[in-house]
Formats: sequence, structure tokens, C-alpha cells
Amino acid sequence: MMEPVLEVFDVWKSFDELEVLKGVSFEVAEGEVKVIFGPSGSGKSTLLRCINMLDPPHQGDILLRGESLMKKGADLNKFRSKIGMVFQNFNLFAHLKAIDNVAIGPRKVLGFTKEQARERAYSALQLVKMTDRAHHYPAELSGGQQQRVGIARAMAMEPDVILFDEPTSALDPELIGEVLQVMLDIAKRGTTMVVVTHEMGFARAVSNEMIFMDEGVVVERGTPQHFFAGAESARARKEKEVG
Amino acid sequence: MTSSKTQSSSFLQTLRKKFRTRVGKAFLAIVSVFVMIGILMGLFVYYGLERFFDEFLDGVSTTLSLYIFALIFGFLVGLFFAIARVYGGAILSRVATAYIEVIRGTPVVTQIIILAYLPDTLNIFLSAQGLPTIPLSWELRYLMSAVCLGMNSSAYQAEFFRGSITSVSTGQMMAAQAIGMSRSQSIRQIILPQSLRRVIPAWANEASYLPKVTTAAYIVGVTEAFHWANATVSYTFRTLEVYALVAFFFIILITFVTWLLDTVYDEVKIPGL
Amino acid sequence: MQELQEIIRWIEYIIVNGLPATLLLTALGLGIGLLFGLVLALARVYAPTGIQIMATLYERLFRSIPILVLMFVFAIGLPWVFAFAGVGTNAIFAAVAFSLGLRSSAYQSGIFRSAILSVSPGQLQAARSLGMSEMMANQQIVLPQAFRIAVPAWSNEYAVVIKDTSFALAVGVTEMNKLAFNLYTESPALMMFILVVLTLIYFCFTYPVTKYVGEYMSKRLKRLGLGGG
Repeated sequence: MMEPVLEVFDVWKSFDELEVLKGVSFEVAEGEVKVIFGPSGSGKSTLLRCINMLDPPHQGDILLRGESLMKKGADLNKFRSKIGMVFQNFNLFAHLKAIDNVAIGPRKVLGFTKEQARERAYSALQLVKMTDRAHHYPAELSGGQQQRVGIARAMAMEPDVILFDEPTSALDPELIGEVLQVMLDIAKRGTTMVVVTHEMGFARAVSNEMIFMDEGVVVERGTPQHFFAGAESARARKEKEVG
Repeated sequence: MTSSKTQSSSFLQTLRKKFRTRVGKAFLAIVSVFVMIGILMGLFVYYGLERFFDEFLDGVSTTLSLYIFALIFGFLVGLFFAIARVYGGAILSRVATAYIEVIRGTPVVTQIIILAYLPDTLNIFLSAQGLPTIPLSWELRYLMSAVCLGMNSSAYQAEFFRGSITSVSTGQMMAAQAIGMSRSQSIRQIILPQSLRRVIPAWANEASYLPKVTTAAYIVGVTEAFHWANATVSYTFRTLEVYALVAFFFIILITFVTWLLDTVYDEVKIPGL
Repeated sequence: MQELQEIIRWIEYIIVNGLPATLLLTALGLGIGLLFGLVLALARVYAPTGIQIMATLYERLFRSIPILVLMFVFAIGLPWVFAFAGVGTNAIFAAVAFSLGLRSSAYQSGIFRSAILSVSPGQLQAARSLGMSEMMANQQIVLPQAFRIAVPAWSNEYAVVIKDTSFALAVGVTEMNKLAFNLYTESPALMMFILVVLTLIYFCFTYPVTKYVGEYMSKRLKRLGLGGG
């Protein structure tokens, strides 16, 4: 049995007096897709930012392929280069064209040459079907296109796992489809993903496990079948309907 | 947060809280201005330059009068030109724009030499034509300098007013006219009250900048604060001390003005505007 | 006609002998201001609190002292500091350039600081989540955007500096206004006329730059969606 790619162990996080995460744990194996869902304020986004230590937890541990990120002296930059992140409001680098947005990580963080980085960027853009707009600036792209470039940017780093923070929540309804399609494609290719989302169709199609969070705790977890068929908590049911 | 520190720090905390209130802040600000003035006077004694203090005060009062005149002149004329630029017809707004942009685009030094020596130059022309000449005097020179500084400030203030006037949404003007107000009524009753409140931070910028501009009057011979500085330096050769004193004066003045306007803005600002 | 020719020759003389000084002082002043100002801005945003406070005090100080006073302090009060540039007029020139630079650095520090702060925080987050170190993220992502955001305000600072160079006449620098002023005893009318010509010259150096760089850059920034907190 291979060790899990990502282990989140008993994570606690507070902002001043407010406890946002209260002992959250889960594991992600290679190639798995985990979907985390729940009402707003349940701590889902905070959890993702804890995982890549942009906002470290107060307590608990995060392990990437068995190595702890919470250990003193851990090379966080190196870890972050192996954990990809896709943001709700895309956060594409506004002063760089699409292709450069995707290439800058491989170039500056992984140390590839300009040509190698460009090649990588180009293949990543092919995966998300954005090659024809590669030389446009983010402001010239639609929301869906920007998000796809954001996914390519994460993929170009060939990370061990990609975190998705409500990737479609900021999109107009017509544009959500194209992004979800890309996410489905990369999930089928075996990418390890942790996705915070309200998109239940996506969860049903590709997730290996769904995790329901409310008020900082994992309330329920199970396969999609578990949630979409039999027994489930009233809250999860309600969330499913809204999502 | 454990409470082991609360005992010793509670006094400091209550002190801090007291000074965070408006009254507390105002009190602190006034006290610090007085302290700075006290330090300034103390420095005069320390440097042994007390006998020049009277003339220093003369220079300071000239600077202050130039400053206040120019600020008020600039406000009235600037507001006029801003309204002219935004709401004037094709000709008036172009004239206003020209006035504003030319003055803003040229050095105040050049402007002040032109205006300060204008009476003298006119006199040559007048006497050549056999007409009565303008009586020249230091007072006239002072007046022309004040007018020049006023015009200069008016151009910059006009830009700020223009910005704040246009930032009041066009919907406001439409709504005002829809209830039957005339254009000038709408401007006076609806647009101006909002824009004048909004403009305060930018206006405070100009009010803090203007004291420094008054030194341009030195170049045409007006006996303001910097003129005192150079006169005293030529007497005592104590360049650095004297310049430090005059610089300190400007620092005190500008700090006071900035504080005053920040406080006014806090009081007057409309939430969400 | 002979008078007109003479006037034109005077104007040429004043421009040829005065404009280079103005432009050189502007370049030096802006350059020094850029160097110090950038360092100060970075200090005010990134340095530990103690240094931040000192940087803020510096900024406040040099924003409150009139440029004329500053010029006299360095040109008349401390000319020996600038002796490296040569004695006499050269030292004064260097002193004036330095004082322009000091003043400009205080304002440029404010410009760059607010530009850096107005780069969306999401940009930094995205950069760090790629694995970039704080320094690399600032270098590659934050600062390039901050520079673009700063351009309109910076073009305004350029206009301020070129106008401020005119104060140098008070310490004896041979610039255009001084040369015109010297003509007063000979012919006040000529002086006036030339001063009006000078205002046009200054105008040509300031208005096109601020209007077109400022407006063009603002439009471009809006298009790129830079800044906006």
C-alpha cells in the first residue's frame, strides 16, 4: 500500500478569537479526487491555505509524501512548488501574457531554461485548450479562459497534488461548464486533486470521496454514492440541494 | 492571551484609550504644536540668536499673510475656474482649461518675476506715453507677489475641485434637475456640498504645499521668513543654525495645517461618500 | 525689424545657456530621487518597524522643507561637501542637484509605496503558491506591476522637478530665469517678453508629458486591470 500523497492531520486554526478549523483530518492517495463542500464560513478555503502553508495552522500536521510541512526549517517554497493552487478569482499575473503566466513557475522556481519552460507551458495550455489565446493578457480573456490558464499554470509545475479553491464560484454560469470540463479531463488523467466546490455534478462524476464540512469540522464523509443515494445528515442533504 | 501582563499594562492601555478619542487626539496635537514652538524658541536661545527673534517674527508674519491670502484667493478663484471648466460653455471651459494648465505647467518663479515687476514695466510704457505712473513701493511688490501666489494656487486648487466635482455622479445632477432645480441651483445645493467634502484630502495637500511656495516671494525681494534667514546669515555667518530654524518653522506650520485639516475631514466627512 | 532680430538673438542666447542646466538638474534630481525614493519605499513596505519609522520620518521631513531652503542649506551652508564636483559653481550645481534629489526622493517614496500597496494581494498569493520565495514573488510579480502603476504619478513628479529647478537662480546657478532676470537693468520690457517666452518653453516640457503619459498610461493600466487593490 503506497503512502498517501497528502495527509492532513488534526488541523486547528483560529483568527483572533474565532476558531475556524477544529481538528480536521483526511488523506489523499495518488490519483484520487477529493471534493470538500459545505456552507460558507465552514473553513474550507482556510483549510486549503493551511495545506500549502500560505496561512499555517496553529496545530496539527500537513504531510506531503510523508514529509511534514509544519516541521521547523521545512523548505516551504519547495513544498509549495509541489502543491498547485487554483484560486477563486484566478489571480493571474496581470502584467504577463497567458503563456508567460504558465511559464514563469517552471522558469523561475523549477529552474528550467526559457525554451524548456515555454514548451512546458505550451503543453499545459494544450491540456486546458487555451493555446490559441496564449499571447493575450489576462484582462483580454474571459473569466472561464482566465481560470483555465490558472489551471494550466498549476499543472505546468507537475505538482504532487492540486488544490482548487471554489474555482468556478466567480464565473458567469455560461463559463462554468468549460472550466469543469477541463477539471474532469485532468481528473481522468490521474491528477491528484482536492477541490472545494459547490458543483455537485462534478463531485458525482469524478470524486473518490466527498467531505462535508460545517463550522470547522468534518461532519460527514463518504463516496459520492453515499451522498447521492442513502443515509446522510440533514445538513449535507440541504447543502446538496443548494449546490 | 494569558493575563499575566494585564496588570502592568492596564495603565498604558487606559492611557492609550483616552488618547484615541477625538478630544484626546486634538489635545495631543495642540500640545505637540506648542511643544514644537517651544523647542523653536528654545533653539533661538541655545544658538544665541535671540536678538534676531523679533525680525524673525516679522518674517514669519509676512509668510503667514502671504500663505493665507494665497490660500483663500486660490480657493475662490480656483472654485470659479473649476466650475467654469466643468459646467461652462465651449468657450468658457476652454479659457478656464488654458488658465489652469498654463499656470500648472510653468514654474512659480517665472510667474512671480513677471507679476512682481509688471508695475515697473508698465510704468516705462506709461511714462513714455505721458500718462501718470503707478506709485511703486514695497507694499505693491508684496501685493503683486500675493496675487501671483494666489493665482498659482488657484490653478492647482481648480484641478482638485474639478476632480471632486466630476466624481459626484451625474445621476445627482439629473435628479436635481428632475425636481425642477435650475442648473446653478443644482450646482449650489447638490453638487458643491458633496464635492467640497470630498475634496478635503486633496485640498489638504495643497494647503500643506502652499507654505513652501511662498518662499518664491524671496526672489522678488519680499521680506518673508526666508529673507530673514539670509539677512541673519549675512550678519552672523551661522548658516546651518539659521537655516535649521527657518526650516523648523515650516515644519511646524505644515504639521499644524495637516493635522487641522485631517481633524476637520474626520468631523465633516459623510459616510459612504 | 532689427529689434526683432535682437530679441530673437537674446532668446536664443538664454535658451542655449540656460536650458541645458535646467535639463541636467532635472535629470540628476529625478535620478537621485528615484534611487533614494525606491529604497525608501521598499523600506516603508518591507523593512522591520524601526526602519519603517525612520523612513517615514525622512519622508515627512523632506516634504515639509521648502526647496529653496534646501538649496541654500547645501549650496551655501555645506558647499564643501560637494567639492568633489569641482570648486565654486560646479559645487553649487551639485548641491542644487542633490537638494532637488532629496526632496524628490521623499515624494517618489510615497508614489512607489502606494503603487506597491495597490497591487492586488491575490497576485502575491498566486506567486507564493507556485513556490516562489517572498523575494522572488516581489521581484517578478509585485514590483513590475507597481512600476507600471506608478507611471502617471511619476510623470507628474517630473513636472514638479523641472519647475523647481527655477529656484536655483537664487543661489547663482546660470539658468534661464536668472539670465532673463539679469536683463532687467538693461530693458525691463525685454525681460518681461523673454519671461513669457520662457513660460511657453516650460509649458512645452511639462504639459505634453503629463497629459499624454498620464492619460495614456492610465488607460493602459485600466485595460490591463492592474492595481485596484
